[in-house]
Amino acid sequence: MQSEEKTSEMNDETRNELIKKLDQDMDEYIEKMKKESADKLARGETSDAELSVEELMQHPAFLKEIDYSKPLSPELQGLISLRYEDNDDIRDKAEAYKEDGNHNFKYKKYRFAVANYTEAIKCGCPDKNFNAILYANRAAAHFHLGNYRSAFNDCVISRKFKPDHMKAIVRGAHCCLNMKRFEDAMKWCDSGLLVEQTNAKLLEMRAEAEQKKKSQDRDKRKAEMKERKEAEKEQKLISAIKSRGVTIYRSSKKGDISLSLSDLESHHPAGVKVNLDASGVLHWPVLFLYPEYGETDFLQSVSENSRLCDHIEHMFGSDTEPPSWDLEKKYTPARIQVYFEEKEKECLHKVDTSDTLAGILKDKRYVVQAGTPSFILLAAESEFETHFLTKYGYRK
Amino acid sequence: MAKAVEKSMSRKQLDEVIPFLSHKSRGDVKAIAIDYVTGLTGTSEGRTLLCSRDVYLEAVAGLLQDDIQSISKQAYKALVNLTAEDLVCPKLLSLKTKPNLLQELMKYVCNPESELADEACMLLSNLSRPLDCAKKMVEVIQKEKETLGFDKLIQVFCTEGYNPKAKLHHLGPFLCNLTQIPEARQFILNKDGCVIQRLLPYTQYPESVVRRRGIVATLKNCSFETDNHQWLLSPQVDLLPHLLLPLAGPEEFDEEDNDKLPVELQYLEPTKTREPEPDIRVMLIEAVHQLCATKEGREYLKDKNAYIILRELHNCEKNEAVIEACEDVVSILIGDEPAPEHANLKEVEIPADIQEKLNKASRVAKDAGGDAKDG
Repeated sequence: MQSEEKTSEMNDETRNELIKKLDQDMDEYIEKMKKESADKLARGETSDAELSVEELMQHPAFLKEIDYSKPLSPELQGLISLRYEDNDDIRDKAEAYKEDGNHNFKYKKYRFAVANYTEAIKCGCPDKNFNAILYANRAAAHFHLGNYRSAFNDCVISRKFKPDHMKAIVRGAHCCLNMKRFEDAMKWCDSGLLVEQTNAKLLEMRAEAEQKKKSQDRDKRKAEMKERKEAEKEQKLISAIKSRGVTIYRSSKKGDISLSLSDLESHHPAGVKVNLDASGVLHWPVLFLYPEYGETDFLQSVSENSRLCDHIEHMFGSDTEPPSWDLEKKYTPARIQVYFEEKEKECLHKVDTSDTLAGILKDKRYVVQAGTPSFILLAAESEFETHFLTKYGYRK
Repeated sequence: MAKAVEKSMSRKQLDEVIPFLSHKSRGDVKAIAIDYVTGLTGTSEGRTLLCSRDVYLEAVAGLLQDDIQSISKQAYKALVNLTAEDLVCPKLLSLKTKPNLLQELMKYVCNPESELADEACMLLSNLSRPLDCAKKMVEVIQKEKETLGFDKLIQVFCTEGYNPKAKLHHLGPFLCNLTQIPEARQFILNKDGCVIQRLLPYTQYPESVVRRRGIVATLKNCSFETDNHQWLLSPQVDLLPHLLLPLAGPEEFDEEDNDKLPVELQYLEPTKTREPEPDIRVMLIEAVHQLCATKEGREYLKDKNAYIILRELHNCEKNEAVIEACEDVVSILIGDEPAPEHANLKEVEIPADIQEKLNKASRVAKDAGGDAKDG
């Protein structure tokens, strides 16, 4: 009894059926590509890596009608001028170009090869097989130049002329693989395997595409999980701030109630911003302004439960060197007065430094700008203080 | 006494109706006749009556290819009902006037233009349930390799939209029944082909419970072939993720746990749902259980962190049978490795007294869970 033949000789009838099916598959695939391209365009997404279906559709192999009002492409002109005659001269010319192309290809002069094959194609021979070969060859040349998109386009056209052209199928699958279009790569491999069940290259590429697709999917899921976690964190932060009754300055007053993370972005170069720690305590970046000398101090992370007086004691207390700008050495914990500005009304309010930051921020008049609570520090009983307060019309 | 009279009355009626069950009869008469017979198949007495004489079965089977579709549809329905009884199946396969019933049915199913392919599938599925029938069917399939081989069956099964008029989901259980026979299992486990690989995606086929159940059962049957385990777990087939994915839920794991899992199971989205049918969940777990038979299999499953998937399943599982199956596997996965002489769990000899105790314990567990609703 004969053992099972895996690579059975296909009879003509089966082969024709197969070709018909492959052709149908290709048409469906192209329709799908068209739709995807249109969708992408509508969404405003375009990317160089994506197939330009428009280019492909201009090729005479796909044209259903000719628009004579526009200039005809060289390929179309070639086809038309042919009038369905298999002109020997033209065929010879095309063969010559093809040979040149093959020669250049052999010596790795791929750009020349592409040009040669293009000239051969321009001759416009009607022989389907010949065209399939020309496009498949040009695809190979493009492939070696790294022009995977062009190579893939040529494979599609080659298969339009001959749906079961193995070289085009294998090359096309390889292009998809390199362009990271793994699902398409698998589909092309499967089409090819219908023609040759045991084609080793196709089986190998299919397995590779499958593996890479799984990894790709996993990476996508991982990224999505990360996004979800970030969004969750954001939400928690925002509801914590809201529940504290802190007023945040909103640049976009579109009337939406929901606070967004952009409202909390500080101007700090390292992007320091308010955060919620594991025990549910908010930590704010805080700005101390010293208008007398035009200086500032940026406190990266102030717990909402801490008191300003403690920070001031730490920064200006007897243990620390006075700041270099404090010429009169008057900025001491005893003399430092803290105010905040109510921007809308352009007036100052005094801050009780024994209060926690949270308590201060609760004040309805206090609006946090750029996600960073800021305070004005003046030295009591100083000329500058008097002058400054008068300017603001501050009444004690 | 009344029952006996009733019975003989029915037989008399049936005998009168049978002659009209011929494709030569007039359409309306045929219809009434086949309707009557199909009605009979609705009761167990009716079914017993119909399979008491071959001539009855032959008459019905003769109408399977009738020109009038509604008639043949009824004939299929009648036979499907009849073959719910195991005893009918061998009789149908050995009818004198229909010696090639099986080949005819299979050819019909493999024809993409058949109108009643689904009904024929159901019949094949029922017919293949009894072991001796399955054996006969496998023999026929192997003999007619050119036209009706397993290759063709698999191709028909795996081609979406093969027959625009039929879903062919019942090829799933048909295939599963065939794998009761070792030759069928060997075909599916063919290392040189791409057979089992094409069946794997169907463990998560939401469109049809029947198809899904059939494939999972097929895989479970194949998992009994311990010699093939290494290949099944290798990248050539990569069976494990396809068994675990339907059992995995939306639960989050930390990065360390995730990285050990097979790629397909890593970082599953919060919308992931588990296999809804409890009996299919049980079969999936039983297949995993089989893969634990060898030392290499156990090591592989442990490496791939299969345990956490089963742990999460166990945490939210309500069905007794699934819980029990789950616990059986988990105890192997987290337990210590057995002594080297017991490395292959299937070859361990259990002393008689211990076996008795085990059986008793298992019976008790089954009785306790037996009343639980399966959902």
